[in-house]
Parts: sequence; structure tokens; C-alpha cells
Amino acid sequence: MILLAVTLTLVTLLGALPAPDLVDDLDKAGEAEFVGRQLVVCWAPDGTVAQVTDIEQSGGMTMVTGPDGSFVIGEGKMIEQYAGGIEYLEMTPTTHWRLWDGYTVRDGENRTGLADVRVIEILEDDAIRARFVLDEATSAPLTTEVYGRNEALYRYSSLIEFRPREDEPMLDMSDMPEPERRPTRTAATVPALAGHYWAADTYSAPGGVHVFFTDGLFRFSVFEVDRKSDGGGLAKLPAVDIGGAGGYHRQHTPGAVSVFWRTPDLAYILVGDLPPDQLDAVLADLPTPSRPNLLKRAWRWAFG
Amino acid sequence: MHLGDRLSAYIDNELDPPARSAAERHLSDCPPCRDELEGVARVRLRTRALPLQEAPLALFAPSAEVVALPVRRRVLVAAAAVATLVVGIGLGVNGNEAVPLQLNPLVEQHVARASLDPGFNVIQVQAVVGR
Repeated sequence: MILLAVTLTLVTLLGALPAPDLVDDLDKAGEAEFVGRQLVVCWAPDGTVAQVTDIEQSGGMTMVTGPDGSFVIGEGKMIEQYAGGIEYLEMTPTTHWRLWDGYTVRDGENRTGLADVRVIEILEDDAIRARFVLDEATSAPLTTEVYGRNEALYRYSSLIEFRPREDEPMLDMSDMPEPERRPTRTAATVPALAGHYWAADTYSAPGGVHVFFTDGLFRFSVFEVDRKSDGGGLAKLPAVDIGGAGGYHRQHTPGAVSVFWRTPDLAYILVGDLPPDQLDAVLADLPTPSRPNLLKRAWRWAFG
Repeated sequence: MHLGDRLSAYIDNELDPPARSAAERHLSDCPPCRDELEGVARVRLRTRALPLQEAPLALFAPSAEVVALPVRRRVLVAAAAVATLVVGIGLGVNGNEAVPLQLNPLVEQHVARASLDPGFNVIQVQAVVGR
């Protein structure tokens, strides 16, 4: 019995071990020091969207600057600087990162013709799912490709301008105010598994509950909110069918997809970077859009 | 020696004739450069067809519309209520109007948590721009 338990534990641990080279490479990419301009194009089901953004990465944090201000992200922190002051949010994980065992990591060929790059490919069922091209000298992520079903390119991002960063530290954290922290929660209506993604952490969120899902490569959050919520404006978008079910409201930005839907008791907002075929599988496992039955609608109409 | 930056200049027709000929000779003998040319050209073709967005910090702009708070109704006369309910249900009335919610704080919370994963900055930095 003890032997069986030990064996099971070992198998579980081995199965949960991340691909060490991938972790190392992605960590290095996250810690690369550079300044650049990034182009991101997403060939989404609703149409193609593209964006160019100035970014600066230093000390494991990335600063994104736009016309209305700037924000810094990294290591669980989200710092927004604007005319009125600073907003500082910090999230604490309750689980460790691991890569879904359905993915295979391999070194890719240098198709770009660039001399000093490292190419990493992530495969799912022998089909390409993601490809990273990292600068050998700085580990900066020069190019990222994400593929959907049938190896169709879904998202492409590239540093169209890039130079190593050699300035002073980007951010002096000693000047920061005390961060706002979200307490963890245990109660949620969504299942612990959706598609092949697992619920890693559950937190309180403004207006509801936040469940964070990941497969180690992509990630999404599901927010459970009041069913009367307008989904931050998403409810005004036309309803679309996803995976054969109607009643979803979907919006793509170059880097993320947002989906809003209602059930008789709650409304849900999903935000994430997963490709569309995986999104279909995820939504199939989450509560599906539906309206309250006649009796419930009558009761709510009468008594609120 | 690959074309590097000259590839972009070649696509944009910015090379002088000798340099352009040299680039074409190189391309004919260099599969990696041809692959890169194909990839760059493909992306440019697709992106040129798009209205390139500027980089707003709040693509999920909060709704400017102020939605009225829900009004609780009370049924005073049972018969009248039943009749009204039938009409209400028939018209598909839900009984409550939409309550505005700020999406940005939720997206920020997602992004903050996501940034703990290795590779987050590689894959998803752009998600933040969609706050």
C-alpha cells in the first residue's frame, strides 16, 4: 500500500514537472532588459485586429506606454500611473506553474534567417501551437506566433524596433504605495477543469468571484458577477454562437479575447489569451448561456 | 551572411538597383531569407489591409451611458399582478435593467495574476493594452 502511494506520488510529481528548458527560456525572456516597439496582429473569428505599442522591460517588469498614461506589469503586480496618482494591485498565487502534459516542447529551426536567435516550439498532438523566437544575447522575445486548429496562425507579435536596455532601473519600487491585494476564495460555480485548463487560484474580485485558469502556456480568468451586469459594455455587442451555443458576446483585442454571457443566476466574463479552438472547448465545460425560466422571470419582474 | 535589415528595404523598394540585384541573387540561393521574405510580406499584406489602431490604454472604455437603478415593483392586487405578469412574460421582460460594471479592474486583476507565469511577458503583454 505504501509502495503504491509512493509510486502514485512520484508519478504525480513527475507528471507535474515543468519542461525545464522552457521555464528557463521563458523566465529569461521575462527578465530581458530591452526597449522596443511591438506589433501584434490577431486573425480573430470576428475580424483581424492589430496594434503597435511601445514597451520597455526591466527588472522583470514591463512598462507599456500609451497616449493616456502608462502602466507596469510583472511578478503579480499591476501598477497604473495616471494624472490623478497611482493604482497598485498585487496578486499572490496559491499554486505553482506547470505546463500541461499535452504539450511538447522542442527546439525549432531558425526560419527567420536571423543569426543569433533561439527558437522554441510548443506542439499539441504533433501540430504547432506556439513558436517563440528569442534574441540569443538578451533573451528578448523578438517574435511570438500562436496557432489555432489546423496550424492556422492566430496571433503574431513581433518587436519591430528593439534595442537592449542599459539605463537606470525603470521603476523604483520603494516609492510605491502599499498595494491593494485580493483575498483568496474557495467558492465558485465554475468547474475546476475547463477544456484541458485547470483552475489554479480563486480570488475575490470587484463585483464577484475571480477564477484563474491556466495550462502553463495560455491562461484565462472567469469572473462570476451579478447576472444583471452589463459585462463592462460587452453585453451591448451582438450575441454570437460559440461552439454551437448562442448567447455569447465576444470581443477581441490583439492580445486577448473577452466573452460575456448570462445564465439564470449569474453572469460570466472570460478574459484570456487562449486560441479559438481551445476557447470553444473551455466554454463547452463552463455554464452555458440561458435565460431564466418563465416563473423565475415573473418573480424577478415583480419583486426585483 | 543574410539580408537582415536589407530585406525590409527590399520589400519597400528602397534599395538602389545594384543592391536590389544583389539582394535578389542572395534570395535565389538562400532559403532562410526567402522564408523570412515570405513571412514579412504576408504580415505586411494583411496588416496593410487593416485600419491600424493607435495604442489606447483603455480599449474596454467604460460605458458612458448611465443606467438607471432597478426599480422594485410591488404587486398590490393579485389579479392585476397575474394579468400584468402574463403580459410581461409574454414581452420577454426580465424585470431588471442592466447594472453597469467596470471591466478594467477585472482585466487588471487577470493580468496581474497572469504576470506570475513564466513567459507571460512573451505571450500576453498585449492583453494589458486591452484593459
